[in-house]
Amino acid sequence: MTAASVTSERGFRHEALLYAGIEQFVSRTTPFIKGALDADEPILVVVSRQKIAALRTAMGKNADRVQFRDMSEVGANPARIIPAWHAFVEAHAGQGRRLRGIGEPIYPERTASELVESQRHEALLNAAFDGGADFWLLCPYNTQVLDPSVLETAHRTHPIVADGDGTISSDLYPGVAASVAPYDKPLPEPGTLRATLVFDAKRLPAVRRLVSWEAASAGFMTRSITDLVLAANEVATNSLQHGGGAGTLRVWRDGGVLVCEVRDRGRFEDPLADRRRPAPDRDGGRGLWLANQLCDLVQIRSSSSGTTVRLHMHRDRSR
Amino acid sequence: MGVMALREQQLDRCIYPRPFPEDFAECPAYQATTFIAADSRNHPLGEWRTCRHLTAGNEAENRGRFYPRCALGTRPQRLQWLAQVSPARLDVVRALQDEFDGFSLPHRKQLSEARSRLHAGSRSRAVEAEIQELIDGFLRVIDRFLTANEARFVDVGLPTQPLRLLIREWVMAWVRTPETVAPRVTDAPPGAFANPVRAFIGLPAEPATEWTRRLWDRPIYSDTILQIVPTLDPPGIALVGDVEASNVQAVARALAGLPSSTGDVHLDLSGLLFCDLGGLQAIVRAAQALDPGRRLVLHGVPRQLERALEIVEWAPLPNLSIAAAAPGAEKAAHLS
Repeated sequence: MTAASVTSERGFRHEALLYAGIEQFVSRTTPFIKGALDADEPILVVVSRQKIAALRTAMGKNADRVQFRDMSEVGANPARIIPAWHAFVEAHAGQGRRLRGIGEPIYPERTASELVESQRHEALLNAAFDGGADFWLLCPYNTQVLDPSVLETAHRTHPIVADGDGTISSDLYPGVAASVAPYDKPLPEPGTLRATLVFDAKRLPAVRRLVSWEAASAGFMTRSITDLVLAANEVATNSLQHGGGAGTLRVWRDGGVLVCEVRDRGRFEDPLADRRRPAPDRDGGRGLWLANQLCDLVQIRSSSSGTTVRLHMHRDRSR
Repeated sequence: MGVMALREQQLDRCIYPRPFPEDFAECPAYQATTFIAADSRNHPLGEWRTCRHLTAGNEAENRGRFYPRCALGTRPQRLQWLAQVSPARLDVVRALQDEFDGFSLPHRKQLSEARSRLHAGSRSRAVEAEIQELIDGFLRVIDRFLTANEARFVDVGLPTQPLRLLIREWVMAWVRTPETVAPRVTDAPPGAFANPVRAFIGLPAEPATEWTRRLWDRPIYSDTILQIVPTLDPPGIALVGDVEASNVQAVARALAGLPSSTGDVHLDLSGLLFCDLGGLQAIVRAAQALDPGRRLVLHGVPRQLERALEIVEWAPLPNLSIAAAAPGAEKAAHLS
C-alpha cells in the first residue's frame, strides 16, 4: 500500500509516528498540525507539557487554533484517554470535517504496569473508533528512549506506521479484534502480598475495612483511602452481581503503590466497557468507569477462567 | 433521650468481651490502646490492650458499682461519631497509633521501670537524672515520628505542634504521678483539636450531635450495618451506617415512602459511613421522582459521596439540592 492510498481512506486512521528526540518530534508533527489548520479541521494534541511548549514555539500564532492537553493529566491512567478522544469527536460530530489528533501515551517515565496498560489502550483505540467518524490519530513514539520491544508493539497496535521517510501499513498489525488479544494473559504478581480475603455478599463490609486499613497502614492520606475504598467496593459488588456471587480480594504493597485485586468467575465480554462514559439515565454499570476516574491505574483481564481487576493507587499522588 | 434511657438500660454499655483480642474488629469504633499495667507498688505487670473509648460508668440504681461504658455513647451515637470522624480518618489514626506503639514500646518499658523505682521510694538524684534522660530520649523519638508523618497528622486534624506539647505534658504527668491510671491532661492549647478527633488523644470528646431530630424508636429499616430512621424537624429520613448492595433496595423503598405532601423532603446523611454507587443512584432517582418544584434536600453529605456524585455526573438535577450546613443553620437562613 502506498502513502497516497492510505491518505485517501475514510473513517478512523490510527497511525504511529516514529521520531528521535524533541527536534524531530516538532519537525514531524508540525506538518500534520498545519495540514489540519489549512483544511480547517479541528485538532487536539495530547502530549507532555514540555512538548506542548515546543510546539507552541514552532507554530507561533497558529498554535492558538490548536487544542492542547497535558498527557500527564489526561492519561496518567491510560484508560481515561479514550473517553477524552470520544469527547473530542462528539464535540465536532456532524460537521462533515475530518478530525485530527496527536496523542503520546507511551513515554519512558511509565512504570511497567502503566506501559502495559498504555499499550492495551493503543490496541483498544482500534476498536473504539472503528467504523466511526473521519478521525486521523497520530501516536508519536520516541525511538531514542523507548525499548525496541516497545517500538515493535507499536507496529502491532497501529495499522499504519510512519517515519521521516514515509508512511507504510504495518505487517505486524493483526486486525481490530486480534490486536487486543495479547492482553488477556494473567498478570504477574506485584510486590509483597499483604492480605487475602474470600468474600461473598455478607462480607462486602469486610472488603471495605481491609482495603481501608491496608491503605492507612501504607501511609495513605484520607482522600486516597476514601477513593480506593469506593472503587474496590464497586469492583467487589460487580463480582457479587456478575461474577458468580463471590470473589477473592488480594492486596499487595509495591513501594509506595498499593494494589488491590478482585478476582471472580465471571467473564467480561466488552473490553471497552470501562471507558464509555455512562449515560445519566442508565441504571448501574458505572463501577469500572468510577474506578478508572478514582484510581491511578486499573488493569482488567478476562478469560474463560474468570475476571481479574487490579486497582493501583500511589501513596504520594498529587491529585 | 440521653439521661432517661441511660438510667434504664445502660445503652452506652460496651457489649464486647474484654480484654480485647489482638485482632478485634467487631466494633467499628474500637480504637486499641496499650498501656503498661502496674501492681499497687507500681511494678509493671505487662502490656494491656484496651479501647480508648472505654470508661467506667456508674450504675444509676446501684451507686458505687461500675459498668464498662463507651464514652462515645449509645450505638447510634457511636455510628454518628464514626461518620463524623470518617472511617478513613479513623484508620489513619489507628495506623499512626500502631506505628507509635511499635517504636515507643522499649522507651515506655524503660520509663515504666524507672518510674516504679522512683515511686517505691528511691528518690535519689541519680534516679531523677536517669528519668530525665529517658524522658528526653523518648520525646526526641516522638518528635522525629511527628515530623516524619506531619502530613498524615495534619490530614486527620491533629496539628503536630499542639500534639507535641500535649504529649510532653502527658509523659511528664505520667512519670510524676504514682497512680496506675493514665493521668488526665489539660486541653493545651485550648481549641487546637476539633471535637471528633479529641478522643484520639485522650481528651474528653462529646458524643456527636445529631443533625436532625431522629425517631430512633420508630426505625424504618435496620440491619447490622445500616439503620434508617424517620426524622422530624425537618421532616424526612436519616441514613445511619453503610449503604451497599445488600441494603440498597431498603434505601430505595424508604425513599419512595417519604412523605408525599407538598414541600421539600430532607435526607440526613450526616451519619452515613459509606454509600456505594447503587445508593447514590437510589437517592438521585428518588429526587427525580418528585413533582416539579419539590426538592430532595441532602444534609451532611460525606466527602466520599460528594466525590462519587462529582465523578458520575448525574447533573442536571433540579429536584436535588445539597445543603451546605446543618438543617438548623439552613432554616435560619430561610427565616432571615
